[in-house]
Amino acid sequence: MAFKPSKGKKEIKDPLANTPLNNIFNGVVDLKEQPIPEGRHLLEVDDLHMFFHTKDGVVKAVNGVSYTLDRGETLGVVGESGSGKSVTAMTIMGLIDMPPGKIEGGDVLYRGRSLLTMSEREMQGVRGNDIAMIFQDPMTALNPVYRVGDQLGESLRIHRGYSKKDAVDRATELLRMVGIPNAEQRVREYPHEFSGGMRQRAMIAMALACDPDILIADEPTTALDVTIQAQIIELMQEMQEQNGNAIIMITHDLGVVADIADKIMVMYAGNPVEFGTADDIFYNPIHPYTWGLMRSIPEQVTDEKKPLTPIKGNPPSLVTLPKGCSFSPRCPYATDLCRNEPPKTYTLPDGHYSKCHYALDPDFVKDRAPENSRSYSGGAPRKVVDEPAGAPVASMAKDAPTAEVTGAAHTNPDDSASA
Amino acid sequence: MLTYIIKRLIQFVPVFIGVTLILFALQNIVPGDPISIIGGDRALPPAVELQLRVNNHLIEADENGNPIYDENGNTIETPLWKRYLIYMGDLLHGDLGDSYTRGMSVNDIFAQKYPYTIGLAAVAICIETVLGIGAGLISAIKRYSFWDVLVTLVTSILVAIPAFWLGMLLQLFFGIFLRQVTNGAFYLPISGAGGSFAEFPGWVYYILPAVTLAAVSTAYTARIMRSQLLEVMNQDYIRTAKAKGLSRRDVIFHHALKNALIPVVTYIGIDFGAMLSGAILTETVFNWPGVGYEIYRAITQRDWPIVMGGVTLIVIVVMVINLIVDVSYAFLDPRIRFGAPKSES
Repeated sequence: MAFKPSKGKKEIKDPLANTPLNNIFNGVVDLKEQPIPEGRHLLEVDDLHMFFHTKDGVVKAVNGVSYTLDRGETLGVVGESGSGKSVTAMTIMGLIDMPPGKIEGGDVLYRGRSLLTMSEREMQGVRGNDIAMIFQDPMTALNPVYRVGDQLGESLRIHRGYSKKDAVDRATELLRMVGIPNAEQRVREYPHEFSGGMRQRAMIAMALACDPDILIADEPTTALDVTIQAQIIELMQEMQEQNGNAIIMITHDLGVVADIADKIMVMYAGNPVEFGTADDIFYNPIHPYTWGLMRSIPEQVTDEKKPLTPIKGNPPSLVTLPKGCSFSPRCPYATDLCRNEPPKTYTLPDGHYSKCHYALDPDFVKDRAPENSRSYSGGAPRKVVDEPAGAPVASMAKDAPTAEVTGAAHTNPDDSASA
Repeated sequence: MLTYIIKRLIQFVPVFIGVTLILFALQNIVPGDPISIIGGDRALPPAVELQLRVNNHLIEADENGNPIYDENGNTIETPLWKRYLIYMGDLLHGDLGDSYTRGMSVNDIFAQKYPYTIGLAAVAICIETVLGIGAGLISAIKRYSFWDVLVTLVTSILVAIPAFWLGMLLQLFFGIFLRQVTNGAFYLPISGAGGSFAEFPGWVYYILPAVTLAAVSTAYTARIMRSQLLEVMNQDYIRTAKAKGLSRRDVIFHHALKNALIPVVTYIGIDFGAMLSGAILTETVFNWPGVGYEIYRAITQRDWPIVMGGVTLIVIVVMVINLIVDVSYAFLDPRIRFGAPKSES
């Protein structure tokens, strides 16, 4: 979309295309100010299909993703590399080059308006202003030849019409807000003078400059030191409390989302295989892939050295997906049904869903779920480590229903962890 | 920054000594006695030849300029190191010596020739910068379009054409075939070869040599520009800029271009240095009275003072241009800090 030659031509001819005045007064509406229509959510992703048409075939990168998000919520998107987590986010932002990318179905609604049918100009008004994004590697995500302050203030200048000086002043405030000491000086420095953690802080400040509704964080901690990781997560939570924005946290690390997510979507081969509240996913997972992910997390608190149980094999090629369930070649419990028939989405009454033929079979789940489904306890002592196999699932299912109402998805994860 | 420049200037000294030393040594390896060549087919009178050798420090002489003879009555050849020291001593006084064949000082010769080389290089570098960067930009922005294919095709052809052949073709086409159409403007019976510079014509005559000189470099510049811009457009910070809501035009011309220009500026800068050292092929084909052509003729005539003087000048010019290019990086790329290394915080 962004790189269609004809689009570029048109814009280059328009001398006012990007002046702040033009953006504010001429056509581009600030969607944030508009009310969310009755019965709608802040962001609705509805059965989104996004395929890449390459010379090797059609890559089904996003193959039927659906979720909803409201202000103040945090959605964790978990999956292996190449499972379509980032592509989903990039599609929402309209950052996928079309072609080779092509929307093959579904819709993305932001405050009731479809982002997929918006013109490039309208999308430019949304990006950075309504929906902002931070990326995995802060070392390369900032332009090396411009001062941090100028890069921070840039979105204020294009979306809000700030003068250069005002933008730098605001950038200084933002840097101070995300906890960078000596912000007056730092704002004039270049990215290479920042450490990795500071750059990610600056990225967060940049993303939050225009007070967006939604912050998409694409593996924001993967490239950072472990000690810095926790700080960055904390900062994002803090900012969320202040601004009330929603967060989409994309990660391959269940531990990261355990800390902050209200809802979790587990993706595999472009498909959401399981979706539910954080409690659902950690206490009562019902998809074998989610179990596999949990079994492959190293246990941090136990003294005994237990071997990890990796998920055997590799994710399938997104060009030639398996005939049945896409996870069936790697699933230790796969049956002929799994290998031949793609599973439907099985939804529990509380909205927790799974794409597994046996998701609704309590015996299947009970016998095969990991010993302790709560694999990460956010530093608190583990509670379920010593319980016998299968027991946590059963007991949690008994204890948890109060927390499993969809409306309760806003519960602070800290509360649920100590519950 | 200032300390860096001073440091670099100090580094010039060993480089300069190395280059001139090697060249001085090479003179002795090249066959042919420069003094006996001067007379052409006829031999010089022995007294004249002896005087020339003394004047050019080729044989040992006493203070009064009389040659010193050994016990067998032969002249003594000045050793190489001694000649080199004499040369460097003169050089420190700004004296490049006298030509064997021209009856002029080398200083005067290059003072006459260099403006033509500088003029030609300046026009050529303008063509290279404007056309090269422009074509590369269009090619990258409209990737896979007709214009991109055209630029790729033309640059491939230009890179493959030798400068002397292109020069001849241009002369033939514009000077001869289109002589009537262009009113003879490109019909060039240039007299530079004969040594009469005063008559040398105006700006029209810069066009064909400058195009010839710039052709290959323009093609390379366009290709470097194209590939650099495409590479930079794949960088993470470009994605960040797009995610900020910048228009495609701002992303390209604000965020991508400055990064993509760094290698292009390097190439153009180094190329400018090369052009200032005299384009021997282009200047020869067009009878251009510049230093390249002068050095070429001096080599064929074993006129070593001109060769040495020319190389000395070129070494200085190239080193200064390279220094300017290096310093200009700092303005494009803040990561490059000269002087004391700054520790990563």
